Amino acid sequence: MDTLKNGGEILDEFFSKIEQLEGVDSDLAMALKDLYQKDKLSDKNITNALNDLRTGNE
Amino acid sequence: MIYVQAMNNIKLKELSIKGLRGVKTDLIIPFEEKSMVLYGDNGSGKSSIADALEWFYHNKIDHLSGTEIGRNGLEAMRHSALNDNDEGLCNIKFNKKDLDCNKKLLVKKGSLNVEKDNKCEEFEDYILKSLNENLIIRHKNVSEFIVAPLGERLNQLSEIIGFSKVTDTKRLLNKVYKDLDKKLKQSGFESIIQSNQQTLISNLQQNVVSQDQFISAINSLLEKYKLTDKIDSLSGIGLIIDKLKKPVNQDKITTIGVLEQLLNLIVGFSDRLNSIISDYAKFATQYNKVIEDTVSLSNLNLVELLTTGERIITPQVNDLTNCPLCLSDISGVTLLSTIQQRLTSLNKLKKDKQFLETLKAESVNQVQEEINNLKIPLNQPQLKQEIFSEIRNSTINLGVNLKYIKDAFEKANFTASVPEKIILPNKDTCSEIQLGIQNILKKLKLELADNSQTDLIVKLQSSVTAYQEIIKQRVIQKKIILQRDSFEIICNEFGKRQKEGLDAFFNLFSSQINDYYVFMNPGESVENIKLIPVETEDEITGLTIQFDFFDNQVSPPHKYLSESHLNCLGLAFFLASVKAFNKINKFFILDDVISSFDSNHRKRFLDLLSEKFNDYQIILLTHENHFFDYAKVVAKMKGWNVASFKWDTERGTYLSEAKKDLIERIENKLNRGETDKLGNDIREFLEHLCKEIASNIEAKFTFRYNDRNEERMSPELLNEIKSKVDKCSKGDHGIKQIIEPLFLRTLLSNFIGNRDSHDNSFVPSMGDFKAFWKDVMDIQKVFLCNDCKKFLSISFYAEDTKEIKCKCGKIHFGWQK
Repeated sequence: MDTLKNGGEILDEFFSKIEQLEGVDSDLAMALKDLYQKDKLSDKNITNALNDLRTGNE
Repeated sequence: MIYVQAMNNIKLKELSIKGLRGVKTDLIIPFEEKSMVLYGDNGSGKSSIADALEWFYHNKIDHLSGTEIGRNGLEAMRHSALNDNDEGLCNIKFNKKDLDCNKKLLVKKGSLNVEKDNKCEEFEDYILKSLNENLIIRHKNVSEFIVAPLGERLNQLSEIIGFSKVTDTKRLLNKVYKDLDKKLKQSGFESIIQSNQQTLISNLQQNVVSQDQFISAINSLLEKYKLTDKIDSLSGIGLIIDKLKKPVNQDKITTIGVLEQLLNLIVGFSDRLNSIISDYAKFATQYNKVIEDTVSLSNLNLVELLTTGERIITPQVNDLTNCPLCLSDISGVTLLSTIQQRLTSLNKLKKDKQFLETLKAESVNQVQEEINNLKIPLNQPQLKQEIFSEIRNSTINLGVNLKYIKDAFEKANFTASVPEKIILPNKDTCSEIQLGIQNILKKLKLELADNSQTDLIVKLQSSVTAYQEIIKQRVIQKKIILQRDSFEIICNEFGKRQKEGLDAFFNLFSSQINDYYVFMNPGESVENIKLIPVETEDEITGLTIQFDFFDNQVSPPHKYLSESHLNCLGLAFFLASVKAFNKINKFFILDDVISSFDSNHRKRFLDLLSEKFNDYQIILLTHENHFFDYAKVVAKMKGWNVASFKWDTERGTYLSEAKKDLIERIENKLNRGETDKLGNDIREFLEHLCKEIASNIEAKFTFRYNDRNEERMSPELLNEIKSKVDKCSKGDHGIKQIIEPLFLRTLLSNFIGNRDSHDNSFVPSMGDFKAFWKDVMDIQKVFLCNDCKKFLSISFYAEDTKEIKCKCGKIHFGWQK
């Protein structure tokens, strides 16, 4: 049972290493990681972050 | 976060409760970080322990949080006999001192207030994290998970393991991916790029694929107009334009700019419009399918009623024989199953409706954005000239088409069906507008061509605008592709992790539940217990519990198992949850959980705890005598603490102390001359002593059922011991002769006599207390060896000398068995 991860641990682990996923834009990965760590991962916030990345606002 | 990572193995050192639930005066439980078996009759207030702990962590008590008791059960937390000035408190000392906290419930200005003295971040973090751990289970909650409906069971489990958050995140990531993909398809990048490339070809007589090529083409143009200037960067074009004289027809140049802006909008418009129309068709098909079931739609408001009914029926599913609402004959299981089927179907409809409502809102917003975009060039004064009336009207018609689509979406308000195909009031004139704009642009440019200087400026401006637009569109397109592709990878990876996590969870968790259940029920016909996720459209919507029952795979458990077995399964689930998810706390409380078990299952349960949870601090509360007796044996072997609760009107719930502590308290009071409750304390000690003597010399008592056995008082015990000694004592100077005066004095003492003597009018002096205590201690000296600390016992009987002895033999008396 020691290896069993709860939902929070799965999310923590996934987002902590998201920038290491091959083929994923590192800026986008960092933006998602930042939103997750601030507990602000929502549709609106992700869309805004993607817009900012496209227009160069950070 | 930082603190909790370093925090684990938290155990209870001491719990003090005062003025809460059944506890009136100080109740101190010295857990000493060890497991503890606590016995108390029904009504002795032992559940006050679980209540106080639940309140300490959750600030409420679930079973007191109904509508009849105000403020999350807080009103019922305080002991009913407290005055407004009295505080209710729960003070917990942990094996980690920084977490010690005294939480108070007090009345301030007529209302109940909660205060705690530990306000440090570490403590707050600890409480927050502990909320997700499984610390308390009560008898009435044991089988809740097992008999819960599919969806509710999933919700309960999701709550414990936090998987609902994973599912929500997966849904969110997928939505962003789909939105990016849609944006990429609808933005018409290729059409815009192609249109601007045509502008470049028209101005520069060649296609351009790189910046170098563009600069070279501009230099060729400058050369053609006999200019000696050359550029080596894009900014050089601006300098050249500034150097040239002001154009004679600034209006025409501005108009060309506005028309090119409109052209860029129109070029991608057709693609976007077709995509919106296609979205509408898909929406309308799904919408009409949902609207077909008008009866179910109008019944959606019953979901709340059915959910409440399901919640009420679930705990009594095995006892119901008719519907509580209409009283028709139906078994609880059939009724519950019917309600659940109905709820599943209505919830699916509700979800479909919500999905369509979101799709509708998003589509309406998108159409409105297109309408707004069209208004920008249309509002430019240049386009209000007569010459542009055709283009203008056609563009307005595009807006009318958009408004028509927007209205079509808005008409879908779940009252009537909508047309599945949209027929626009104006035919698609995009290509005509595009052609019209291109013709006018050509004409305007030709007019300007008469003035070579102006012509050159127009060409330069137009080229640089077109080139920059191409670059801009390519950059945006590239970025969106990168984002979409990144999200595709993220979604796939996340899906894999979610599946791996869930598979690992269900496999391990099921196997753990199975192991615990089978441990408690060896050789029975239930095995291979599994939690099986119920999936609908790639999403888990429920959980069922499946198992092999006489070699057949069956489900759900409450259809096949007895109440006792359901409780076993519930406990197995709780214990598996403790192992799996309690990462910080290494203790848990079991409040009267074995009531429905037979003696064999109770023993198996204790064996399970002592074998598999040896490293946990277990607080085991029970009102069952036989179970307590067996638990005491296990406790002795394992080094657990044991204590009993008692209750009286004066103190409320209190802990019956260990003999050693009681002697210390009595002697302290005697030394300090404190008479308060001293008589009670000595009587309690005498009862302890008599029970041990009686047990060791095997004094026989009249049979009584469980609880009443514990109620035997000192006079009855002393009389039975005396009878046994009278019968068995041998010789003229035996034990009989020694104890006779002692027993007589004690039995005739004003301190005892009958159970009501506690309330008689006798007011003892300190001398009376000392004399009574001396007699009690003398009785102890006769039966308890000061060297080996063992009582005279039949187990140390010497057949050869016919003597009863202590273990070391120092005390011995002639005895006829």
